[in-house]
Amino acid sequence: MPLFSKGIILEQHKEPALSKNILQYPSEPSFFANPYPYSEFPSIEQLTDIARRANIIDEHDGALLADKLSFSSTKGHPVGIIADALDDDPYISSQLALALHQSDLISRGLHLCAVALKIKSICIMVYKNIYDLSIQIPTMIKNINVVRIKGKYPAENRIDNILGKSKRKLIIGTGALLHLARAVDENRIQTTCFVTVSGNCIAKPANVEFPIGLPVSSALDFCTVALDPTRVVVGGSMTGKSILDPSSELLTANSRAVLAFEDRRERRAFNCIGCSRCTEVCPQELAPFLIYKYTALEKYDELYRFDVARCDECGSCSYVCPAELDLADYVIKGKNYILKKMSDSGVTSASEQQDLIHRKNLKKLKKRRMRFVVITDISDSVKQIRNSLISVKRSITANNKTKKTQEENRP
Amino acid sequence: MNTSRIQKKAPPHIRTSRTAPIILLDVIISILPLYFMAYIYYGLRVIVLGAIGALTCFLLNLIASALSSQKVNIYNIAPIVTGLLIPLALPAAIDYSIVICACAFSILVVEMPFGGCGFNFFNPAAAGIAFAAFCWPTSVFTYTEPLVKLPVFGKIVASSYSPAYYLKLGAVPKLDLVDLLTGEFVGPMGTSCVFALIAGFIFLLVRKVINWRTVLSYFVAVIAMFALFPRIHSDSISSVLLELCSGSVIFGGIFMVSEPVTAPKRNIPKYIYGFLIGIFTVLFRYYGGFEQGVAFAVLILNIFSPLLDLYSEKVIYYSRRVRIARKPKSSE
Repeated sequence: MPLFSKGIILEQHKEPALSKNILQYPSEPSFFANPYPYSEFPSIEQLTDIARRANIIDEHDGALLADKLSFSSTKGHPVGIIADALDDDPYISSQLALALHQSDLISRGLHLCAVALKIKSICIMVYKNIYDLSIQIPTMIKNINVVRIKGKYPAENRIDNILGKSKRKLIIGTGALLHLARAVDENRIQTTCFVTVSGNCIAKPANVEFPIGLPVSSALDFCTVALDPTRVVVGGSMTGKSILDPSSELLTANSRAVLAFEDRRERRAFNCIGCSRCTEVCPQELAPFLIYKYTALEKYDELYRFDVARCDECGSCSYVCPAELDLADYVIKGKNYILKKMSDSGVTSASEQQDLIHRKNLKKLKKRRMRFVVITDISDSVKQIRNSLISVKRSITANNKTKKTQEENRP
Repeated sequence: MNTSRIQKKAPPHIRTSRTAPIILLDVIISILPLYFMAYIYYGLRVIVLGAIGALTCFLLNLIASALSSQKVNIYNIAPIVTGLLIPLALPAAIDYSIVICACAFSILVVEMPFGGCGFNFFNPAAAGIAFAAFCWPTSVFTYTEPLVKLPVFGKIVASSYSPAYYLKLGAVPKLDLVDLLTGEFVGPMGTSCVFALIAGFIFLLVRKVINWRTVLSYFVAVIAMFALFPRIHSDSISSVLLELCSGSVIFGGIFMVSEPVTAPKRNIPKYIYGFLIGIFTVLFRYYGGFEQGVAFAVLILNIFSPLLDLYSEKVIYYSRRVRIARKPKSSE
């Protein structure tokens, strides 16, 4: 971990939702037909099949858990499994609450995956800088190590160093682990999702197990809306999506929070005052103020100079901006433009796009390097070429001299 | 639940509470001790000068933004900061009209034509001070004695010269250390009291309003120049002390060099910017036509700060590529 991590320090606002028990929204569980006889630790093929039948979606990245398991057993070969209870976004505590209050099922799910994939090192990761808790996060949950990630807000780009330096690690959200344990032991399909309902308009903030497909408005009403909100957000407070009509928006398997805010501050019409806080804060070391200026003027083709495609979309730049500009929005706009240009030229996956960006820009660098290579390392072939060139030059100059002398000698 | 008030907005949905008006208010608070010391030395006229400067800048900014069909923003108190800074670098006996002219120049010529606060290329306070120094050099560089209260209205005869002037002539002004640090000598009304300046500086640093990098490199450059190339016949320590305290060197370093709009944004360009301003300040003091040089040095380096920004982006761009190219491909 670097000594001074870049990012922002946030007030976490996780209480009182986190210390309360997880509430249950009344709903009927549904079951699938399990073709396998019950075993305590099924094999990896059986486990992926069960996960596929139970239709479990990992809320960490929105992918199907069965796909992740089959990929890691055939191609990925991870060295460790990490249960994601990070929740470094303020207000969100759904994954951490599961790790604290449903630790039996979480540890069961982790052990299921670990035994099936034959992996010994497992851990649960949590965020360290949460100071307003009224309960303590233990160092061990059911004999599983709890790894605390230090540092400022976007903690997700610092998770590489957990469980050794290798990058091959399987990260599964705690919600998916819980549903996996339920699927193996009770043959239940994932019909619910764990959602934090919070914000300054909510009277009783809580973590609730809602059925998937419930309108956001009834999720809000379940926790009593005390004030009329001016914005309703599905997802985190830093990166979530702001919605207009809560009754037409439905909860999905990977919506982790529903937040209702009343904006008490009016926005003033300020320009960028050049305080350079955005560049100090950016975890990818971009210059958001410059990108903002170029996208606001719609000079999209100049944006490649500032490496917009590296943006994490963490929103730190907008958070710190004293002029309250929507920096992150403009940066993401520019990033999307560049990525679209890449995909138009035939590149599809994100990693390929990154590669292409680097390669395109490396071309110039390689050209420059070539010069150095030729000068420093004169191999035999280069020497020959050089000698031949020199001889050719000499012959030309000799020819010219002879011509001149002939011309002079002419009467 | 009433959904009529809900609006769609871009993330993030929480914002820091340290907004631009609060930052600007911090700057104003850090200026107040200077006005207090000036009031003790020169009387009520100083407060009137500050009020006139602030009001002129604020009203002209409002009028200009209304005329240029911008959104009129009464919470934009950046012009007030400019208007408070300009009189501080001028003598207490200065004519009110000169202050008004300098403030009008800084707002109407330097700031508003480029789009208002945030888009200006030059530091408005430095430009206002430089404008006054160019147009009325005799009244800007002749002072009155401190601890002699000046009348608010009526003609004042200023006939004293500051220690910086004698330094320029090659003489060594006789000042003891306490007088130098408390600012009880002939000079600009708000730039002489080192204690008040340091108090404001510490306040700004603690509130993280200004960046310490530019200020640090500026002072390193200035002190190194004064110590290595003293222009008076004495040891380097007394040269540094006299030169630092006699003019607006510290004042400029704290309030003009660190001004964020016109400074570069990355860390290493900030060091370069501050260092070059320091060197130019000393050169202007030694070889320029006037006894003060910070304002001119700041204005000259302001031209280069957008260039420094763009070039630093270029350097970072290529250094990233080199880092990626050097890394062995992580196939594992």
